[in-house]
Amino acid sequence: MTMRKSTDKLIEHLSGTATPVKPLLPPSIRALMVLLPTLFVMALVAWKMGNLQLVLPAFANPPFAIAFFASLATGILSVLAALNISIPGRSDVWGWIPVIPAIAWVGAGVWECAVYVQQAGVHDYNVFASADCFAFIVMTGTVVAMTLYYMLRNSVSTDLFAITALGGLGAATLANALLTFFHPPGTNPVDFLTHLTAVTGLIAYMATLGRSALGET
Amino acid sequence: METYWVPLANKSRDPATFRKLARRLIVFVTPAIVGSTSIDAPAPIMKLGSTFNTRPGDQKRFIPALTEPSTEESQAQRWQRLMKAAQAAEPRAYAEFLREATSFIRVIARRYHNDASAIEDVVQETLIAVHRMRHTYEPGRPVEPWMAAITRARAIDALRSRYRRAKIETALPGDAVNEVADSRASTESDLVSQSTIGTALASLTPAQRSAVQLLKIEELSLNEASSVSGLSVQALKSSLHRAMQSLRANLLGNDDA
Repeated sequence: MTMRKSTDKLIEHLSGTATPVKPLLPPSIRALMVLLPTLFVMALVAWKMGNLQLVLPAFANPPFAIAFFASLATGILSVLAALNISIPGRSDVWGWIPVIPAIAWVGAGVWECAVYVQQAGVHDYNVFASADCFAFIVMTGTVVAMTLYYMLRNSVSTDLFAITALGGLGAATLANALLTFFHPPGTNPVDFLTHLTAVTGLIAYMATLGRSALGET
Repeated sequence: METYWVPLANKSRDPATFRKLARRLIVFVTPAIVGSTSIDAPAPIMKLGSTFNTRPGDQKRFIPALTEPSTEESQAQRWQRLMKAAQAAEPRAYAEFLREATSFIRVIARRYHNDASAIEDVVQETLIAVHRMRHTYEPGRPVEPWMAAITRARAIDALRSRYRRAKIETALPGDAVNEVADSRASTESDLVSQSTIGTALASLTPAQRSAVQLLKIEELSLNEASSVSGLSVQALKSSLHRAMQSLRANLLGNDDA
């Protein structure tokens, strides 16, 4: 009874001291606010600085094209999913949507590796040959992730781990898509594993960093 | 079910009896339609009763209305309207919304907790979370899934903290607890009298006194105390720490003297 009374007191206090709040924009609009500038800058960087002469003809190669578009789709859908599930009560299905293109990206990568090994044979790979790729994905991905987290700062969600992990996946796969324009076409196994490690590492890093940055509610 | 209830309603010409029947009907029908939404819906029932009084032939029209989603829709629309008003900080609408939401929250909390005080804790934590997160509600969308998600998160948090506490606390045999309690009581009563405590409390700043009052005496959580006092959680922690230092110094000083 006393507890109920204190609940009533709390309601009185909350309603009496409330100040007007501006509702957040719908997640799809906020996703566009992150994605449009990001994709625009990525396109500009790829156009001005990318190795287009070498990369554009490679799009005729199905595994290469699938890997690029799947990585891009994973990035876009992950950002959309992160912003959607950051709002309480939105369907958990959002969290699974980016998994489909992510599987397509990994599948296309494995396919590219198989083609590469078939053509070039198995030889001694330098494990650190793709260190530049790792640095590129982590650094570009961090910038994209920061933009996304800035947009997420007011969402105060109930499931931070899923959101920050999806944010990390989105940022990393968008960075991976941009890397395509600075990378010689045709992925070898070490290359692909490096990309995969960078993406996974960024997800783990962002899930940890993001949790403390966005804070528990 | 309608074949059972409608003839009963038809028999009744008394609005009060009709309201009673309608209330029973809602108790049966509402959980099936809206899951855990509150079944206390006096306003529509009053409306049904008065309509029945003026136009007795109309019950065929509104009895199906109870079993169809339109009742649930009107409840949902009402919450949407109240929530929108809450975002605009209209105190009456906001208080009304929170009061109605309380029973909804309690139903969900009961799925996770058995203890009445734990349920009420979840209700209060959820109300505070709803208050803090009310800007995340998108006007025009159903309120129930939004609030259910917040409630579930708070209920699970409460479960986690209960398990964490259970891990670090060790149960003592009953006698040992009583011995400790008796010895503490006698020692404390010997050492510090009420007036000494009163003097020590009076020496605190208002913020420190408020922190002690809310966190130590009323045993509110940091979030609740923050909402009640208007101080940030960090400020409360800091005030409490300083207050405890000051009290310790004062009481030990008195004791030494």
